[in-house]
Amino acid sequence: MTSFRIEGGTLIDRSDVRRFTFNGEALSGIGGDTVASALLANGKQLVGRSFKYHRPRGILTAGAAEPNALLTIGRDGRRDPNTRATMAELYDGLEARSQNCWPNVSFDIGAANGLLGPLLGAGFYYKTFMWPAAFWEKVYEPLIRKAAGLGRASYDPDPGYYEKCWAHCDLLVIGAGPTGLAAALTAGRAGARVIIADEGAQPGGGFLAEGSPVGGKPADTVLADIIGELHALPNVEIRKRTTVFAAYDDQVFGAVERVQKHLPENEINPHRAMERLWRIVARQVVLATGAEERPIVFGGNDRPGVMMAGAMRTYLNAYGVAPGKRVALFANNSQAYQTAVDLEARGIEVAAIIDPRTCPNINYAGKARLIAGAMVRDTAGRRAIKSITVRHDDGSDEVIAVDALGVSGGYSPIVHLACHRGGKPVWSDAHIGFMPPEKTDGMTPCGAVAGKAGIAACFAAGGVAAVKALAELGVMGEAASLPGVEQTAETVDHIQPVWRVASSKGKAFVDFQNDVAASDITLAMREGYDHVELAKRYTTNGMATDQGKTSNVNAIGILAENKRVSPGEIGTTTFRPFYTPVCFGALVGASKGMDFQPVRKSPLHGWAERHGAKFVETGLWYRSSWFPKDGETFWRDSVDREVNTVRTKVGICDVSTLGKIEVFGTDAAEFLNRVYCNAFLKLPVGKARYGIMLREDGFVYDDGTTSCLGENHYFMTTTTALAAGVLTHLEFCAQVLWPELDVRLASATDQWAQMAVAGPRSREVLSKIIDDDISNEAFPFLAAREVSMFGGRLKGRLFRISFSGELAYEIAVPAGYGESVADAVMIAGEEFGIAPYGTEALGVMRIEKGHVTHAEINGTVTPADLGMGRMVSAKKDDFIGRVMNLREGLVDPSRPSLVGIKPKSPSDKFATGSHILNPGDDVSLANDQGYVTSMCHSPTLGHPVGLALVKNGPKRHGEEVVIWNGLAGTTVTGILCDPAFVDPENEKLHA
Amino acid sequence: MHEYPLENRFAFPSNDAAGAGASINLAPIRDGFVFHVLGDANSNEVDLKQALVKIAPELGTDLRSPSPNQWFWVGGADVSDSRLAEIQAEIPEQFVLADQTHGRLRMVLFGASSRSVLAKGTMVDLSPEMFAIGQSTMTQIGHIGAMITRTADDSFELIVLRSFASTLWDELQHMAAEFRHP
Repeated sequence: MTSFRIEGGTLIDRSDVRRFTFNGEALSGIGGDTVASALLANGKQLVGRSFKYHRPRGILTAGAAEPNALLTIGRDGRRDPNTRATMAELYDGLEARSQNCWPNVSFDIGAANGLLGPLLGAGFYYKTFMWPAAFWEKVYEPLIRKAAGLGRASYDPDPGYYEKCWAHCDLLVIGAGPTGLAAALTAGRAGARVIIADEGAQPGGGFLAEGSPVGGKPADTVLADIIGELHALPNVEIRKRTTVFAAYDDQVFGAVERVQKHLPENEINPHRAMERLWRIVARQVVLATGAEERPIVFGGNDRPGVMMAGAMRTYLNAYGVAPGKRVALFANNSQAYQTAVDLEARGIEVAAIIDPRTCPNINYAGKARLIAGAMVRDTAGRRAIKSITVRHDDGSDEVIAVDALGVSGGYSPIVHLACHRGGKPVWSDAHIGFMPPEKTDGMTPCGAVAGKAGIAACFAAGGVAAVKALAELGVMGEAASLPGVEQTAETVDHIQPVWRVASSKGKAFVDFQNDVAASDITLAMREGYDHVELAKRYTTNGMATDQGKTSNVNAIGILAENKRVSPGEIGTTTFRPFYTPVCFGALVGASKGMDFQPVRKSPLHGWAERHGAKFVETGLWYRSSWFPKDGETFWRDSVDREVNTVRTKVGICDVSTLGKIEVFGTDAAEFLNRVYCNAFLKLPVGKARYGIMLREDGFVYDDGTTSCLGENHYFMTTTTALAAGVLTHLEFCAQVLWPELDVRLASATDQWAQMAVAGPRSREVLSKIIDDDISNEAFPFLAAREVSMFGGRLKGRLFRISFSGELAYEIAVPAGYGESVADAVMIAGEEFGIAPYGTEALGVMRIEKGHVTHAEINGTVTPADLGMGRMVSAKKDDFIGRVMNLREGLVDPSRPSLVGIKPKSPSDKFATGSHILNPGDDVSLANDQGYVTSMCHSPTLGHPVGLALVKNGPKRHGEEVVIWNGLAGTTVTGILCDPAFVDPENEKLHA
Repeated sequence: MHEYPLENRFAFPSNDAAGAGASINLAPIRDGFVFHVLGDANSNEVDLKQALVKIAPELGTDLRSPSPNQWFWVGGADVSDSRLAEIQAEIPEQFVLADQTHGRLRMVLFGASSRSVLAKGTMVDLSPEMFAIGQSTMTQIGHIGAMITRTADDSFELIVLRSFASTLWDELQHMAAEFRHP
């Protein structure tokens, strides 16, 4: 194999030899190489196959815009598909594979698609495969997807760690080429906080590819001096391998840093992120993203060996890699001639420079033959270019043998970030390109992105831009300058636009990655899709992972040429984040697996763990669901036992997750009276009351108990789910609706460990640890007050309330003491057969008792629907939801209302969500009478019980209905009944 | 009643030693108090401090403000129930005081890398020139609400709801790992 490695190369370290494989073949490269430069050095021009036609493709660029050289790099969970070889740094042991080819990249069966080219033009799938319709999903689409495509993601989990980070600065400099470096130096010297970010492995941009001296010094020496000074400035942060991919509102910029993606596996620090997603907040921004060299659209322009002229310079000067041994250039501008100068300086033959301009005004004195007024119309070569066909201005053709062709069709400023916030680029006839929008608040585009060319001009522009940005911050700065470089008058490179070579032979590609040819753009226009946004979607031009970096402007140019208007009139498509692809790992960060969301632990979590609790996620909380004992193999074994224990003895349940809000203030009672639909104004000290909160629209929002602990002090509980929502609601009421009321609210959910102690023996248990008298006389149902515990060693709050329907208490203690108190309750209850119970048993008992939760309070019910219509005060002047609760539809007596339901045969089962039908009616929602909101097996009664919302429900107790499970396709005969299956007279509560 | 042992258990993991490192340290603040002071619309910090100095001079006046007219009053002393009741009784009417000692836990993150660790979680600019010693802010660290107070050059106190404390602790350990194992 011929090596194309030559001397020089500012980025490589020849003492660092790195082994890698490409499609299984062992190769070697050098430290500092990209995968692309290493492949080229090894003579690998063919690296992949195209998306649709499976045409052989080589390396087109040396940077982020690469459309062709997309490889799968790495293995197992560390495998990254669609990696741009031009951006991937070579490490020892790297494994790279070509994509979209079989059996291999050199001989690809899929290349047969090329023979079908005439049938596979733009929008072919809209016009073909129309019949039979069922074939589209089952046959055509799978076949098309298999035949076309890119790499495949790994199914193995990525062992790498990813994270997100915030950064702040006075000045964000995007791009560390000559422009950006000058801006960073200027601002850094002025003392501003600067972040300069560049997607390259090393900062430098144009410096790295520069073969000529700068101010009398080698370019890499000048660069090293600049970087050295920036590193020495403590207020300057250089972020290399960092792509700023998005500009968001409020000067927030998204960036992704490849922290360890360039390292071999044995050098990866498992404690450090593989990639880091940055959110950078910048007061001012200097946009120094440069310009992208444009390809030219001519026949066979996709053949391996055809490369951007600027990329050739980069490989030559930065990596010491020759693009070929006999090279031609096809360029419509004078900057590209510098490639010929550099090639010749390295002893590489430049066979010809083909320039469409008839009188190119150039300053080139090399050996290459200059063919003016000519175009390349075709290339030849099976897997790599062997020759080009040049069409002279007299119409004659000439074949020139070459093994590489450098192309330059002008320069497209990289304006993406300047447009993400809605700005539209502006066409410039002088630059033959779209320039940044005129209004870019807080952002100063400069250098090549603003049309400058050359290191000196760009460096000067960067300094000036930074001074301007600093002035906006009230900071004085002096523009940095390059030593030994004199500013000369700006010269204009007269670029002759060449949107396509009309005499092209064969396919002339506009979008390499999506295989869109010039003929496809023309076809789209013929078929009426001539608007730039329509043409994009009809042809898929610019819709690949490269988002048309090398193709969009050419496509616009072709549209403009066909319509005989300026490209400015055609305009661009919309620029949106992301500028380049960002892997999901970086977007997800650390929030994956068990870290997907924070875990909220009750103060009794450890206690529950010690008792073997099975936990269930309830929002962010982990709640104890049930506590299996030895021999219990099925969850209901445990739940039934827990229910029976509470009903006959005593149980303890963690209810700490309920929302708890301290309400203070001289107007607290009035405040509560307005937020609850029932009366609270006269709740005496030492008493709790069940309350219902309505929304403004009259439906129930939340329920819970509120206790009066002092003259101006109340303690509210909410449901677990709406703890935060209720507090927000109350704050809104206090601050916005009734600012005149003296009321203050404090969330106390986390301050208290709260446990329900329920069952006929609960009083006896608690009496052993509570110092105060808690007899029925001294502490009746709905009593609530502070109590002394453990001989005065602890203060707690005791509430005589019951969700289970049993004689029950809830005891709250400072959270840190929660486990100790729960342990004490267990010890005290041992003689009574106490057992812990979880939320499942809690749910069973509340259904047996007919108590509602958010299964019933589902946003569509009123208090009357729940059988609590009489709680809604008719005496209060006002409360939230009062007026809307009186709407006609909400007081309709036939509304679905709460009712109990049980199967006619105790052995029958039914499911939550089942619908209620009248006997004899067709099984259809048209005959719907309501639905089951909750159900469970009642160990107390020995059969399933449920709650349902049924039309006219309370008046239909005893009525036989059909319970229809539409999902399972089953029906069961049920009986509507009182929702209080257990203790309907509330005797237990008052025991 | 003494057959029932009482222990104030902490919500942080017991392996506190894992928090130590060369450039980064994470330590729980086990002792002390956190009182939530709720002022009326006209209240201010100056008045509050004057009142606290008068009522409880032994507890200091270390305040963090999570929102307008509200403060967390923190300190290292243990305050008994009876002393708390006295303070609640004596505090001027414009203020109300709720005990949050068990509900809001404190930890301190310190060391040269402390800002870099916190930058992985919060969008607040904690640079010395933007976030002075003594300054506090309510924010989110990742997905967890927390209050950050700068207590020294490279030292930050975090106040977090007890239920989130162990998750935040673990997340901070994770964020700090690269600085302990460079």
